[in-house]
Amino acid sequence: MKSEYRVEIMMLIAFLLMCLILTILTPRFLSVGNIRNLFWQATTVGIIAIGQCLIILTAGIDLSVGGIAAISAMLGGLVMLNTTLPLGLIMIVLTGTFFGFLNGFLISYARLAPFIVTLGTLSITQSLTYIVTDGSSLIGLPAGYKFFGSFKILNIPLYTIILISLFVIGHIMLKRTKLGRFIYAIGSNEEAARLAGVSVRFYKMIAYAITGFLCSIAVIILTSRLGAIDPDTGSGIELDTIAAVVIGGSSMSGGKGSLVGTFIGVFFITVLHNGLNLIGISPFWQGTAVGSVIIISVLLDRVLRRNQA
Amino acid sequence: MINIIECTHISKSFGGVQALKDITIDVHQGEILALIGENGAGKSTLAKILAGVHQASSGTVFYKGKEVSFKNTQEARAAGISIVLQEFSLIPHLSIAENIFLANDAMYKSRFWQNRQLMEKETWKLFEKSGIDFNLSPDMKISDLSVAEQQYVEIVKSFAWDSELMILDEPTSALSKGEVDELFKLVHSLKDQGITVIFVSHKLDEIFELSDRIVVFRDGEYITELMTQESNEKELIAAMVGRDLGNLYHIRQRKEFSDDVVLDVNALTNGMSGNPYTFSLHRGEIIGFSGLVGAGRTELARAVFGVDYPKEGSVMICGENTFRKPIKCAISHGCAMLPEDRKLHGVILDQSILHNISLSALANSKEFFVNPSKEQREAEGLVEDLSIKIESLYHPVSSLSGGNQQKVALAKWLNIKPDVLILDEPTRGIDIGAKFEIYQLIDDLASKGTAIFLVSSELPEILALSDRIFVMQHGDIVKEYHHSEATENNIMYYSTLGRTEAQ
Repeated sequence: MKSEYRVEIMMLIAFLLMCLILTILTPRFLSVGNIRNLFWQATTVGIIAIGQCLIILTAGIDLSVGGIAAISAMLGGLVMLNTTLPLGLIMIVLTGTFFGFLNGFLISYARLAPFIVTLGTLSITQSLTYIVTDGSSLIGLPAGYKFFGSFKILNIPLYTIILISLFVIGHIMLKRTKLGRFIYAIGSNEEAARLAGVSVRFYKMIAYAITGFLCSIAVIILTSRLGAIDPDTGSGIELDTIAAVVIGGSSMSGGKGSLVGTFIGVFFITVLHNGLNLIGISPFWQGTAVGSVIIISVLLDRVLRRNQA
Repeated sequence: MINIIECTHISKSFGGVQALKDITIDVHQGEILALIGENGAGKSTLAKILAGVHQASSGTVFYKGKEVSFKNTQEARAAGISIVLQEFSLIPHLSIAENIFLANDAMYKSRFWQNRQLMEKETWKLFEKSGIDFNLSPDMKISDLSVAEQQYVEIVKSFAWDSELMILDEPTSALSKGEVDELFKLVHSLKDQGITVIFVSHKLDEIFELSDRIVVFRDGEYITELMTQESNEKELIAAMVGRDLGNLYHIRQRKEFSDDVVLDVNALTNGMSGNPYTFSLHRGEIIGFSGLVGAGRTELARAVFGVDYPKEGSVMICGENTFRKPIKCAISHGCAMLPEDRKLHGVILDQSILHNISLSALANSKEFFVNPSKEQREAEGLVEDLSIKIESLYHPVSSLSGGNQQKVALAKWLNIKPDVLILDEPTRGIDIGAKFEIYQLIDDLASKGTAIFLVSSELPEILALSDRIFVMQHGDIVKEYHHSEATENNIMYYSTLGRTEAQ
C-alpha cells in the first residue's frame, strides 16, 4: 500500500470492525437515537482534538485543554450573568485564546518543555476555576445560551456542522497553507526549519493559541447543552484528545499525522466509550480500554512506519 | 606472501538492492589495503561483512586459511578482526578505561564492582602498544574528548582484543588535517606491529599517502586493483567513476566580477573572534574560507546569516543592515546558507523532496496559501537544472544519496534566487562524481552573478573555485590571498603556524 494515508486507512478499518462487532453485540448501537448520541459525544473531544493534533504535529503536547475550557467557561459565565450574553461569549473566547497564547509563549519563546508548561497551566486553570466561584456551579444562564447546544438546521445539529466544518477548515489549512507546511516542518526537524527561514517560534505559539481558541468554542457548545457551568467542566478531556490524535496515526515525535486520522480517532474513542456503556461494562473499565487502545495503536504505528521505510 | 583474507564470489543484497556482486579479492598479511569507490560502491559493505557486521548473501570468506562466517562483531573480534566504524560505539559518560574494558568479563568477574586500577593499568599498556602519544589518561571521560581522540580510543579498543586485522571505515571524515596526520602515524605503527589494515575511503590524497595497495569498487563490483606506488590520481578517479572527469582546475571560468558589493562585513565580532572581521564580497565573486576545524569559519558564516547573533559590528546584505536580525531578515534581503551538517540541518529527511525544495521560498513569501501547481513546476525546474536524480518529487529526501540530498538543499535556496550564497562544506561526504557536478553548479552560479562565501576543509576545492582565499586560524582571518598566489602549502602554513596583521 503506497498511499500517503496508509495508517489512517488501517485505523478506519479497525474502527469499522469495532462498529461491526458492537452492532452484533447490541442492536441499540445502530439506532437513530444512539447515532445522534455519538455525534454529540464526539463534539467536545473532536473540536479540541483538532488543536491537539496541530500541537502534536509540532512534537509538542497540551495537557491543559480541560483546564482552559473550564476557566474560560467559568469566567465567561460570570460575565454573562452580570452583563450580557454576547459579552459573556466574547469573554469565553478571549480567555481560552489568552491561555493558549500563554502556553505558546512559554513553550516557544521561553523555550520550556510543553509537557511541563501545560501541566502547570492545567493545574493553575483548574484551581482558578474553583476559586472564581468558590467551588459552586453557575446556573441560571441566559436563555439564548442554549442556542449553541440545541439549534438544528434541517434536523442536523448546529454543533455537528461546526465540528465537521472545523475539521475541514483545519485539514485545508494543514495541507494547503504556509501554516500547515511549517507545522509539519517544525515537527519533523525544527532546527532545519529554522535555518531555512521559518519563524519557528511564532508558528509553534500559534498552534497552542489555536488550541486555546478551540477549547473555548468547544466549551461553549458543551455548557450550552448542559445548561450549567460546573467547575469540573472538561476534566480529563486531555487524555481523550491525545488518544484520538495518537489513534489517528499522528506520531508523538512530530511531523507525521493528519486531521483525517484525528477525525477517525475521535470517533474511535467515542464509539469505544459508547459501546462499552451499551454492552453494560462497568464505567470503571473505560480507562483500561482507552489506555490499551492507545498502546496498541502506537505499536501498530511503529510497525507500519518501519515497513514503509 | 600469505593471504590473511580470501574472498570468493561474495555477493550481498539488502532487500531488493544488490550492494555487492560476485567479489573475489585477497588481503595480504601485513599490508595496508585501501578499498575505494564512490558512495554506494560497496566498499563499506564488504568491510562490514569481513568484520561480522553483516553476513554475505552468498560466497565464502577464508580467514587465515579457514572458512569463516561471523554472525556478529563479537565473533569476528574474538577471531582477531575488528572494525572502527564512522559512528563510534563509545559511551560518553564513562571513562576511556571503562569503555575499553566494557565487554571484558575478567575486569568485572571477581567482584561486584569494577576493578578500576587494573583497567587503568591495562589501558596504559595499550596506549604504549599503539606507539603514539595522544596525551590522554585512562580516567578521562569520553564526552570530554575530541573526535580524533575518540577515534584513537576506538582503535586502542582493538588492541585489547589482540586484533590481527583492523578495518577502518572512512576514518578521516571528521578529522582536521593535523589529526589525519596523527592517524596515519598510528596506522603505520599498526603495520610495524604486524597488524594488517584495511582502510575504506573515498579520499584520494589520503589513499596515496597511506596505502600499499588499492582495490577499486564501482556499483557493487570489483573494478581493478593497483599498487599505490605505480598509480596516480587520474587513473584512480577514472576507475572509480568510469569516465574521465577532466581537470578540476579548469572548472572555474574566472569571469570578471563586478564592483557591486553584495555582502559588506565591518568590524564584526563574535564569540570566536580575536580581531574584528572586515571584508566585502562582490557580485559574481567567490571567497573561499580555509583553515583547520575549529578556526571559526562556520561561526563567522553563522554570524553573517543571523543563526547566532554576533556581538558588535555591522553586516550589510545588498545594502541593507541585517546585523543581529533574525534569519528571515537575511533571507529576505537575498542571502542563503547551506549548513555544514546536511543531514541534520540542511534538509528535512522525512519530508518529501517537493516540500524540502519549496520550504525557504514559502517562508520568504507573503502568501498564506500554497500554490501546488506553481510549487511543483518550480521544483521540477530546479531538479532538472541541478540534475538531481530522483524517482518522484513525493519521495522523502532520505531516499536519496548524499550528493543528491545536497543538491536538494541547494535547490531549496536557489528557489529564492539569492544574491549571496553561503556554502559550508558543500561536498563533505559526497562521492567524486557528484562533487564535480556541484563544482560546476557553483561556478555556473558565480558566473551568472551570485556571490559565494565558501567554507571548505578541502584545499583542492578552495583553490579551484575561489577568487580570493581567506585563511583563518583560531578565530582570526590571518591571511588573504588572490587565487593566483595561493598554494596548498602556504594555505596550510597560515592555517597552523603563521600569522600576519589582520586586515
